Amino acid sequence: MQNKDNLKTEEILEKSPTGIGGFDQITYGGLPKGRISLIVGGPGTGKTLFATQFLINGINKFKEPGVFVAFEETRKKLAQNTASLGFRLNNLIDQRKLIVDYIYIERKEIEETGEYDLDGLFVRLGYAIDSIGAKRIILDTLEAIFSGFSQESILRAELRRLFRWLEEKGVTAIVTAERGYETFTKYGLEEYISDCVIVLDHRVTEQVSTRRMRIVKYRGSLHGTNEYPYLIGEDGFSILPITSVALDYHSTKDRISTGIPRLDAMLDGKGYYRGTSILVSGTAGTGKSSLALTFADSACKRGEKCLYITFEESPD
Amino acid sequence: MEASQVWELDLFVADQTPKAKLTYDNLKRLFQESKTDCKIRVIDIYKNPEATVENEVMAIPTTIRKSPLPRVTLIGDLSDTARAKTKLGIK
Repeated sequence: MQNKDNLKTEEILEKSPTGIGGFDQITYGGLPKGRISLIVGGPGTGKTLFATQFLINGINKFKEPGVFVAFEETRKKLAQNTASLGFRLNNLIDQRKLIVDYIYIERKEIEETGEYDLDGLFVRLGYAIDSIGAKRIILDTLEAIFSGFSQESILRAELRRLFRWLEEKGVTAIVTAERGYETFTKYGLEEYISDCVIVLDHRVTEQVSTRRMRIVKYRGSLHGTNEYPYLIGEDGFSILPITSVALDYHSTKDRISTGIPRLDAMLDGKGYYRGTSILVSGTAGTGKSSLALTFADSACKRGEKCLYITFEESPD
Repeated sequence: MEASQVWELDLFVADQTPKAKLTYDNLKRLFQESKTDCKIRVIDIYKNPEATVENEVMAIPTTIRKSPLPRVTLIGDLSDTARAKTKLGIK
């Protein structure tokens, strides 16, 4: 666990909070503000989702309008992700807090007849950013331009130019990319993005599917270097920052009723201590579950929320 | 296709650069050589970002044949004359 004093010196690099559970913790604040972050992962690892949440949270929680640039293959994904998470994209678009720009690139339709550059792309992005004062932008997946244009040397030069341009625009950007086989990313985008690189991994180990995130690079900032498990659930993306489970909480003297008046009486008349772990041990049929259930029930009756995890019995 | 039909083209450029002029000249010459009438509308993407977005223009220069249909999109300065002619559909 990092020493809290060291953190103060890291304030120089401004961060853009993502609002994504656990992530801002392991990065001590979020993504590098005004810089470009690269999120790399195989298909289905949640790159688009992470980026979408960054944008939507930016609007809803941090008052930063955003632009989502969706290249051909992600139009459907975007619609699916946002629908399942309940993001009301159309509302945000109507309120001029969000612009979704679909850039469709189909090599068959593009006839190259000589030299060109990608000024049109810059104009479109600039137009979108300026029209709503966007502070966040997603390019998902920028790699799609490689499949659209055949002149790689032109593309790479333009990418360099694009990233410099984005930084000058002062927007915090996320670029997504697929994992490559021989190279880190399929088209080597990591060469151009050096501020922050995050890898998402989805593997099946001994028939159990696990997702892991790792911050490969984060220039100028402390960050957790481990692999962190993450989940994609109904609320979207969330990371479990396991190394931050430190013993830095306060112990309380508050008590909570066991739900059984006579048992409370045996415990100073008050019950268990709040925030403690109680082990109930006994052979089968002695009433362990009943004791636990009564405790849960009494909490619910008081209007408190209770999480009851059962391993051995069906809900009935 | 009517021989007397006037062809309409949109040429998207980024300001008045030598490349823009070159592309325009190439385009004009292609049509002169094939003795086809054409109407070229030059659009500066900086002055007209709306048209840029509307026509989904990414690469510059881009030439779009609006008429006759179907729409054809060419990118580049049209220095590859043979290819340009074929794709535009002029002889």
